[in-house]
Amino acid sequence: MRPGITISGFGHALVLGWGLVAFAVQPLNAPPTEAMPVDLVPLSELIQLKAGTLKTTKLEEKKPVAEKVAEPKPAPAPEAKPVDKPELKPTAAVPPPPPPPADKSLERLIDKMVTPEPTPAPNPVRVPEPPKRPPIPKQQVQKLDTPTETRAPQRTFDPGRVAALLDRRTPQRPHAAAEETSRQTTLGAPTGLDQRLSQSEIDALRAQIQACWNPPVGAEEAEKLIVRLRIQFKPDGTLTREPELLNRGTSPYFTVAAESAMRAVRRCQPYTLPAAKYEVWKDVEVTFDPRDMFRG
Amino acid sequence: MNPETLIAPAADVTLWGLFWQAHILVKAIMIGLTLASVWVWAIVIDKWILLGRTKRQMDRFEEVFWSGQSLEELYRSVSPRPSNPMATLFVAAMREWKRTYEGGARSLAGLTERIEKVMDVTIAREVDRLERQLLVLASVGSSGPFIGLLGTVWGIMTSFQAIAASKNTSLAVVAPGIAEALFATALGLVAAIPATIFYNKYVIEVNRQAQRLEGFADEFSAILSRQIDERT
Repeated sequence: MRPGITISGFGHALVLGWGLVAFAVQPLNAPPTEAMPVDLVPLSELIQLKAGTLKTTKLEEKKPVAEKVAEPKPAPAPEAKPVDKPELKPTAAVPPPPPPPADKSLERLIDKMVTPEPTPAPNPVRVPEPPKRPPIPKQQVQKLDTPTETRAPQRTFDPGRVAALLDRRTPQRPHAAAEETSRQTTLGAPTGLDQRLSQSEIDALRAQIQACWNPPVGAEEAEKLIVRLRIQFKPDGTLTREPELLNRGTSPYFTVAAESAMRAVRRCQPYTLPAAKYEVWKDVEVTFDPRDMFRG
Repeated sequence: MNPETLIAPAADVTLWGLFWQAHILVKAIMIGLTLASVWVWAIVIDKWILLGRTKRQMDRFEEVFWSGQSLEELYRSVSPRPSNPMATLFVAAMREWKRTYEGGARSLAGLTERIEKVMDVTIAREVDRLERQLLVLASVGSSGPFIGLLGTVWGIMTSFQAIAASKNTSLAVVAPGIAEALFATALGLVAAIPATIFYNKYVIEVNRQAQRLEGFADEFSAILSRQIDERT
């Protein structure tokens, strides 16, 4: 019995001691549920569309999609690389410097590449240049960024903007996603009056009509049974006159469907709609679609 | 009292904290189960040693016994202190035999039966010595989980009462109490699982050794009865 009780007691003491030290419960890594801030935003603020006009020119947003930079290169010596960079200038996102001098500097650059001889001729505007020209051919072996910068101070504009000309993007940059860049700002709904029924009010109208509508059940080709009605209301929510059927259908059941829709509109009056927007819902068109009951 | 538990009673989920916050009954159960575990392992270790040693010694004794050594010699060397059940059996039988002979008995008629009886008694005693305390293993193995479960039930009861009192059902309030309660079941299982496993193993082992003893007893009594028949 002796060895047993000794070994057992010792072992248990060991395990318990280890447990006291190591049984530190680390908290589960469940992040505390964060209180979700809830704002009550009127749906109309989001849904009301601005009026779009056809007269404004469509703002074609410049797509900073990367051109395939490597291809248009006429496979020149490595010095020719910087020549490509100014070509990208029009797409650069930086504020555009006055274009003509930039183009000319580009020409000058190319000139320098092709003919190392100082040619003072091409730029009659820049008078003080010739004295500086001679040293440039010697630097030609250097990186071409430096010539641009040395020549820039002789321009009429400040060098910081010249530096902005340079396309600093890497030639290997990926194509920008097209969805991102072609955002059109001039589009609007043709009926995009600021004062119009918001989606929630249309929903309310729908709900009221839907409560009364018995769609033609079991009719085939439900897509041919779409009924569009023009409804005119009085300010108290009743109908001014009978709803007017706006479309004709070929289906033999179309008459039944149209009748049911008109019946529904008639049965549900008066409608409760915001009186302040009477001008908007005075005259509305409602689409009755048996597939999804109907759309406003 | 542990100062840590005073500061943050709900957050203390260390082993000591689990124990210390428990109800007095749960505490008693935890202590009892820990002691039971200690005891179980003590028995397991002792039996392991005992059964292993017994097996080895019996092997050795059988080897000597069948080596052709004279029984008298063997008896003389073994009788002062028989170290294993087989030797004890042998000594008991030989003692009975010698007592009959040296007492100058007139008849050897009942000697065989007497020897067998003596050997039976010896086997029973030896097997009893081998399987003593195995019952403790069985008891702990079967009742340990229940005792732990009692502690758990009790702990959960008290923790529910605490919930009712604090009127707060957030998990942070409930969890420590339940953890503490489940700790009792864990202890019960920790005590019971080895107890059950080793009980089964040792029962088989003891049965095997008992059968071996009986086989030896039969063989030995056969030898002795042959001797008796030769002398009559």
